[in-house]
Amino acid sequence: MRKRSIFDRVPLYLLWALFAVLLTMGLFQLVTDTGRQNKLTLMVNAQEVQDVALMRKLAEDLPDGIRMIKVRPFSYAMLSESSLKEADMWLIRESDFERFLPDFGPVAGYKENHPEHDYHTVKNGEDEIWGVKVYDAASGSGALKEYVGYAPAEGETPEDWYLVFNPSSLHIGKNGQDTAAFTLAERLLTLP
Amino acid sequence: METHELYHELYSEEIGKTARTRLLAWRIVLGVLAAGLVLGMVLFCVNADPIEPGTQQLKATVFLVLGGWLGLFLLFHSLSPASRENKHILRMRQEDGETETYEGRIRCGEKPEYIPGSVPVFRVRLEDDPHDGKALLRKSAAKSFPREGQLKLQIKNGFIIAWQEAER
Repeated sequence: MRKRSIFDRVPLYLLWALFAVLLTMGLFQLVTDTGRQNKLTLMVNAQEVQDVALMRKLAEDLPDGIRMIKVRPFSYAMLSESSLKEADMWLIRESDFERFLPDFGPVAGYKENHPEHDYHTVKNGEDEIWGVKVYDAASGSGALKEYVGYAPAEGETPEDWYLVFNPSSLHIGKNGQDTAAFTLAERLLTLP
Repeated sequence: METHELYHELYSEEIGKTARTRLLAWRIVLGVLAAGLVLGMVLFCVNADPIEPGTQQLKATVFLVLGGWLGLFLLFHSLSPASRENKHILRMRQEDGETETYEGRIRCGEKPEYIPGSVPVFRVRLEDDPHDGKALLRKSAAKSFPREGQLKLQIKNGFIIAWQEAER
């Protein structure tokens, strides 16, 4: 019988490589992420998002009880379907309200306490769905211009952008929970 | 009369001790490698940037893949052969069996044979044996063994356990 060469064991080496990739992914997911109760997630429906830069900026001053803030483009939902539905807030265009209406729901405790902001309101049956204005297309003024590409694609009309709270978020003051999402919204509205 | 080389014992206590030491050495090497991989991964995880973990994750992945490949290579090409060698020598030293003596011409095979689960061996033809016999020579003992010649052999369980050049 001939001596087994290194090439006879190529499948085993490949299997190890696959195992190593999966193990590393799992380990890093474990150490760089945390549960929804200690995390805020903002999903942005824009082609260009400086998510890393924005996350680093927001990490400088985290709301109480929050260990990390994740900023993700909507395209991230291709990797993780639940990420859209589990986000605490969405930054969307005005035209997105119709598209995502089934996922929206009434959220109390912010609009009433912040009458100084502009809002866009849509009726969904008996519920009032609203978003707080972040960017005004007509004047070109607003927040997060350094981080979000508000400019429309070629052929599209410039639109206003709004921050909408997810009614299933754990940080909107429901059932005695914290209002860290509201605190984050206030912070976002001050960022250039 | 010409003097001949000393009697070569192929399964002596010293040889057994060397095999055990070699096995222990490779076990230590692999143990250190495994510990190093674990420690390295811990360090990568501790230093991971929660905002942008990509770069650290890539480094950790490459580290683990290459380290694991090195470990597998050492396992199959160093530790495993050392373990088989040690087991074989121990078994030969401990086993009872009839020892035969052969004196005559021998011809050693050119290439070693690889028996699954055992040590690599050379097949030695006993040319003056009336039954056209063969004996097996442990590959690690073959360095000083002549390719052909007139030898006196001691054979146990089919393996050559000692040899010397036959007196003329």
